Amino acid sequence: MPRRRPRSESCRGDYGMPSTRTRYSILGLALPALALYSVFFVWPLASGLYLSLTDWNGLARTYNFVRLRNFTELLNDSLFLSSIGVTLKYAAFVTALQVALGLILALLLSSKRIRFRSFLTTAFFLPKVMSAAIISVIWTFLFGNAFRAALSLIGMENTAFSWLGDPDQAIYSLGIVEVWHGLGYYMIILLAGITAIPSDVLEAAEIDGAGLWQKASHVTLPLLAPTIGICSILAIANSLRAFEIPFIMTAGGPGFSTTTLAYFIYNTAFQSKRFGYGCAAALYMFAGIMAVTLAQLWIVQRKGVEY
Amino acid sequence: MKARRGLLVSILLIMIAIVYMSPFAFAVISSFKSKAEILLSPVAWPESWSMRNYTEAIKRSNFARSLIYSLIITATAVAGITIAGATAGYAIARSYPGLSSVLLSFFGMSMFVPFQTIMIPLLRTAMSLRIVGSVPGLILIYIGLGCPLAVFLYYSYIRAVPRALEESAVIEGCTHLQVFRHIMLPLARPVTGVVAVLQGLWIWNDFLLPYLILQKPLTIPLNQVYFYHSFNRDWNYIMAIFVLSTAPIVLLFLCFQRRIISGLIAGAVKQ
Repeated sequence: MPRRRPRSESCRGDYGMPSTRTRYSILGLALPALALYSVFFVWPLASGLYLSLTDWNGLARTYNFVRLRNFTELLNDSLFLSSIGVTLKYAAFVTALQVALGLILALLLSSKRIRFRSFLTTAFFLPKVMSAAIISVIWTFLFGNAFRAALSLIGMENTAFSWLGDPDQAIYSLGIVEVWHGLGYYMIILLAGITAIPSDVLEAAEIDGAGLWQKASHVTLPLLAPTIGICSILAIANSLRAFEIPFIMTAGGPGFSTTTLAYFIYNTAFQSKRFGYGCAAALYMFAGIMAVTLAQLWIVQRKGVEY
Repeated sequence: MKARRGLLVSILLIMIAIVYMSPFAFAVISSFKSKAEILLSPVAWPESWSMRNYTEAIKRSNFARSLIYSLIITATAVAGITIAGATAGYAIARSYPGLSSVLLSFFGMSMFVPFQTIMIPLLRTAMSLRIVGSVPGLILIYIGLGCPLAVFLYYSYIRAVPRALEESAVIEGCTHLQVFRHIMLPLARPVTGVVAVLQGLWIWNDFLLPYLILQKPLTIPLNQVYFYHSFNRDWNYIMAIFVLSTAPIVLLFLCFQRRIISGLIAGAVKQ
């Protein structure tokens, strides 16, 4: 589904050649963006590389150069390693559910006979436009009080079960919130992908006697593979950065069972005052997200389907 | 037979959608209850529909202030991102191809870098520029972090526009800035819509950056979270603030649904 880029300037001659001076002087227009981007992105990125080699505590004017000690210490830091595990569990859970449920909803909604389609898309998309921080507050209450009361109304009360208090369960409860927040987004991307499938392909399958299920599994899904790939990349890259939901709903607990990598970095810097150490952890995170994204892009491009 | 199946699936989907939206319904209904009612009988209608929670919560939480600040910050930052991104996108599209690709990959770096990677040094930069606690400072940071995506969107749009249009303007004696203002910016209006939706939603909903930079509950998400932390037993007020906090964006979404959805998706697929 990626939009075709406009054709490259192979036919530039048609428009006449602008002068050399024009081509340089026009770059003046790029200066505001370049300046702000350099000050607030490139410079911090570069100084983060440098700070990761120091033991800066965030306040002091001086710090020591410790070379790669932060990076090696992190590899033996059980909290750091557990935060990676937590993040991977969360990302796998969220990505699988968002893509699978989004796909099911998109397939159902793509049927011509579905009514109230615009109401349904609105309903599923609505959480996406809200702040993760704000919805976290409401979900804390739902998990803490409302679900138990609702279950007891239908006689299914189980007092031993705690959505946010059980260290084994809590990260998946947070995952449910993330799935709820983003599901509609993937549903819409997949729905657009399904709509883009030429109808004659589906009609041909129908004439050949393919049923609903056969059409989905043999025609729609293979043609949809690139879109599913894009959704998985977006979902995984997004859930690997999880911060607000654990920060507000569980503060990383119980224990450290919901301390994600992003939250670990935050804590290291602003609670433990180890800014240099936090910078090093943040670079590991950068490398991880970049590797996952590149690997997935590569897989999707190799498996790309044309129609 | 087939029509009946369609109807059945529709009804099933509508039921799922209602369950899906139940957290909102729950929050709206709870926002009219007393504190005791919410805790003792969370799943019930309120005894009386009084607006007391709203008036009280607005008074206690400074909601009006956070609404105004959120509007100012989002509007100014989006305007800044649009101007900075569009001028740069135009310049890059019309410069030497070699230079363009260097500049594009310079801006492209940011796509892979999670916010946490620059968070700590960015705060250090903000401290040395003395913009911690400053709203204009936050806006400048948003423009710096938000412009790469805008640069890409404008660049790929403007690149497809024939040069002939601007060339005649230049011959008439227009400067680059005039060409940009009177020809390119109006032409690229669809891109401006996409940029406004994508970056506007991001900034309106953002939590961590204003939390670190402003250090006061000035925006709507910050206000909600601070209020939750300081009155965390007063669920009746928290529910009222939740309804107020989400109402602006929900109304906006319901009015411009098609445009918002297509804007969000255009951005996703471009990245």
